[in-house]
Amino acid sequence: MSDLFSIALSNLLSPMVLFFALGFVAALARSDLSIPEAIAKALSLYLMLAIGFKGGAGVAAHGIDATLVLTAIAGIALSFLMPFVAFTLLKRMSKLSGVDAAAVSAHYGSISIVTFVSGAEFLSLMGVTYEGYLVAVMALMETPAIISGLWLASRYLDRSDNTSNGQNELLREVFLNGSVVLLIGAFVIGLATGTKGMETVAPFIDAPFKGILCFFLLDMGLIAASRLREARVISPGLIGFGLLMPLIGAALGTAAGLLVGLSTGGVTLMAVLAASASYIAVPAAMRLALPEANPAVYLTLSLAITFPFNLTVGIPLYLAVAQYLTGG
Amino acid sequence: METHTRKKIEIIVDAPLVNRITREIDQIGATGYTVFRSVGGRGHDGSWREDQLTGTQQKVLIKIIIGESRAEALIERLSSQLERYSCIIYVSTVEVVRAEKF
Repeated sequence: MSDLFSIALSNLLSPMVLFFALGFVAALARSDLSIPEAIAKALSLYLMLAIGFKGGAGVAAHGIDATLVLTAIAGIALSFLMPFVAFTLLKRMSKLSGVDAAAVSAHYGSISIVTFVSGAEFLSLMGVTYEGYLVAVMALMETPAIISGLWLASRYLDRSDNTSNGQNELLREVFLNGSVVLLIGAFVIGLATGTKGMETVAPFIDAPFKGILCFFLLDMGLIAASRLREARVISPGLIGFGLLMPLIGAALGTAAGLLVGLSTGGVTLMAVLAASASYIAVPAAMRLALPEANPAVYLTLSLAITFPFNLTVGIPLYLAVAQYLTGG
Repeated sequence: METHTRKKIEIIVDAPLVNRITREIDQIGATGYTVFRSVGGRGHDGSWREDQLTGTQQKVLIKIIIGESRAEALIERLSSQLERYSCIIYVSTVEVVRAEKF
């Protein structure tokens, strides 16, 4: 128990969480601190490029083992299935309409790259290693949930205007979404160039990584708090969902990680992936495919409730559980 | 100076849906339109601002100036989508200098 406490404390006192807290408090206090949109976007792209490349170079250095395929299958299955769990919960815990609940469910089946990056950074802070290919698994987990979410929503919609044109647009949004392309692309480049490539770009990709993550989390704190302050759509039941669903996801992710035989760090990150909720790829896809769903609901839940929960409480908890279960 | 009466249609819509609207504009044969970014505002679903990360709630203003019959055709096409896209459309009458451009 004291172990859990010390893990939680080292997370809370890490620069990443403290910068997030700074942004959060500043926005709550209505400070005029803000990060220009273009810079926030660039930081987010940098994080995807760096984590993708690191993951690819990691796989190139350590090689591919059989658990990779199993982990990929487990990740895709989780992403497909979790929206159904989320939808059932939402229908019991909130008064959301069917379409809104389906849109939220898709977010919780998908993943958040920044939550993963924070989890990976926390693991390296604690000296725990993880499988590099989890980055690729993350990219695979991004989209299946969108399909499940749309299927859930289709039962509540009377659509006659679903032209093939709109479908193509959605497919492009889902599979060629900027974050997915950059993540996979950087992973492949990392894989192809390996350790040597890593040495070449390390000054850009490795050295500033932690600082840029802090900068980005400052912005996340600002966004989360301003969303929370302006939210009119969030009921106590929805807040309960935003806190309970990551725990259920983490339990499923932990079970999947143990089942396919990942390391302690790998199990932790599977839990982090399953616990996290998307706020970049899925919202854009939902806005196109389900314009009826209220974006304020899914964005506030994902950005202002679940992300802060995972960052502050979730990640150290998932690590402690993984360490207990793997004996690592 | 001689001027000519045309219709100006302004549409406020969430950024991800802009392509859907501009496709409709192309289909009625309009010669051009302009898309403007916005900084922030407030509406039925509460406040929104330049939406740093997701871009999902970023509002965009599209302006088109066209002749009356095309304006009616465009509004006809868009009005079936108004509820779904929660967009705002309004029309005004303007005077343009070079009639052949619109």
